[in-house]
Amino acid sequence: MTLVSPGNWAPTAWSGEEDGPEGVARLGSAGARLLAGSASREGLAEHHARLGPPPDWSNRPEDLVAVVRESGLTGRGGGYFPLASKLESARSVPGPAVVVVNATESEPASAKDRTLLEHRPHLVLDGAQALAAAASADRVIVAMHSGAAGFGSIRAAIEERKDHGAAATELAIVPDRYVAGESSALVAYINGGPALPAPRGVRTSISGVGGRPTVVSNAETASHLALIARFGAKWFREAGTDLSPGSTLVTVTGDVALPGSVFEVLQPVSFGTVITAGGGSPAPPQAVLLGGYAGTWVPGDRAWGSTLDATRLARAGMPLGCGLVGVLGPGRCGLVEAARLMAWLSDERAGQCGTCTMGLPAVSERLTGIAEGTQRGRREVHRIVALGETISGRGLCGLPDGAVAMVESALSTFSEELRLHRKGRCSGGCDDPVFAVPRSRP
Amino acid sequence: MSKPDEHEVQIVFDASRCDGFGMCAVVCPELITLDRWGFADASRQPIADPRLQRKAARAVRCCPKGALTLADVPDAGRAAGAATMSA
Repeated sequence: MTLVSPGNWAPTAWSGEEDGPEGVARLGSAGARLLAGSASREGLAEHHARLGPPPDWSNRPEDLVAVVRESGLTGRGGGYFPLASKLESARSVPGPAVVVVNATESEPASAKDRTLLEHRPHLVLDGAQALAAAASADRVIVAMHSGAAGFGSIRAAIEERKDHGAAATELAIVPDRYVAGESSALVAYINGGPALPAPRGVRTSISGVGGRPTVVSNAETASHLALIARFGAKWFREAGTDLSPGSTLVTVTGDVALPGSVFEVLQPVSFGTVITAGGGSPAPPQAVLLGGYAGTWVPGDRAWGSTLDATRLARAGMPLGCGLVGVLGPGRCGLVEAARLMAWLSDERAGQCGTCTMGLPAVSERLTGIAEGTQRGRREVHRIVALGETISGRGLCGLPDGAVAMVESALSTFSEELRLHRKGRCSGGCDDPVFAVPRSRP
Repeated sequence: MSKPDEHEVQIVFDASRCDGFGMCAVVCPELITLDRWGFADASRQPIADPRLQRKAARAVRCCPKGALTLADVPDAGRAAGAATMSA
C-alpha cells in the first residue's frame, strides 16, 4: 500500500522511537501488557526472565475458570463471547477436552495476532497451556495458515518448549482461506474434513475435535489468559473499562503513514488517538472501516471521538470486531473500496448455502456497477438492500451477514459519493487500493 | 401454560443441504417459504400447535436432501451464542 496525500492533507510525522500517546502502547513500550518487553522476538529464556515461569493451575481448574469469570475476558477474534462461559460449557461435558488456539488471523488487514505470534510466541503458548488447564484438556492445537508471518516463530517456540519438558503443543496447518478461520471450520478441518463452517447449533465447546468438548480461542485471547493466570483478574481489570475490561490490540491501517501498525489500547482512548498514533492526519478522515473487511463503515467524524470500548461500540452500531481500524482519507472513493471488498468476500464464500452462493455475487455485481458508474439508477441501491434482506441470517456462517452489513454501511456512509456517481462522477482517483485484498483461490 | 404432555418443536434448517426442490414450502407454507432463488427460508419459531407440528414433520420428511429436521425446544432457554465469524 502506498501513501498518498491528495489536497491539503498530509500525514503527521511519527517517530517510531516514541512510546506514543498515553493509554496506547506499541511493541516494546513502557506500560504495555501483551506487547511489553523488547521490540523483537522473545525466546523462551527471555520470556521466563521477564515474566517468570507460568503458574501451574492444572490441579485447580475450577479456580482458574473463576478467575477468568472475574476478569471478564472475552473472545478477541471478534465475537467477544465470555471465555469463562466457553470453558464452563466444555467442562460440563465429561471426559478430557481439547484446546484449539485460533491463530489463523484470516482478516487480511489485521496484524494484531501476527504481532503476538511473531514476537511473543511463548505468551501465546503459555495461554494455550492455561486454556488446557482451565478446560482440563489433554490436547492443545495451534491452528495457523502455513504462509502466515509468525508461523516459523511459533514452530520454533514449540520446539524450544519440548526441550523444557512441557506438554506437547500440536500445530495444525489450515488452508489459506477466509472461512477456514471460523471456529467450526477449524474443528471440521482438524477432524479430517474440509475447512468449512458447520451447521449452527453444534457448539464446538460441547462436541468438537474428535467429538470431544473443544475450546476454540483466538491467539490474543489466549495471550491475555497467560497474563491473567499470572497476575489475576483484578490486575486485568485495571486496564480497559468496566464494560470492556482489559487491554485490547488494534491494527491501524489504510491512509496513515504506518499502515499495519499494531497498538495495545490500555485505557479508553478515542479512535482519533490511535489513528494519530498510526501516523494518520490529526483530523477526522473521510471514513473508518471498523472490525475487518466484512466490518462496518463509519463516517470519520462519528468515529473520531468515539471511545475504543468494544461493548459500548457494539451498542452504538460500530462493532470493533478483530480490532481493525481502517482509515479512508480524502480524495478516496468509499464505493470503489467497498465494491472491491465485496467482490473479494463473494469469492471467499464457502459455497455451501444456495442463498449465499446466489446472493453475494448478485450484490457484488450491482455494487461494482455503481462504483464503476455503469449503473446510475436510483433503483440499484434498493435492489442491493432487498438482496441483503434475502441473504441475511440464512447462511451457516457469518460471512454473508457480515458482507451484507459492510455493503449497507457503505451505502449509508458514502451517500454523498452515491449522488456523485449518479451524475457520472467519482471523487476517488481510482488508483491504488486503500484496502488491498489477497488473491482468492481459483 | 402448556400441559406436561405438550411440547414445542422447532424446525432446524441446514442451508448447506438445501438444493431448492421446494416441496417443503408446498407442504407447509405456514412455516417455510422460498426465497427468490427457490431456496427454503424456514421459520425458527417454536411450534406448539399439534396440527402445525404434523405439517412441519411432513415438510421434514419430503425433503430429498435431508436439509430439515425437527428439534425439541429445550424448556430452560434456548442455546445462547450464535456462531460468529472470527478473525
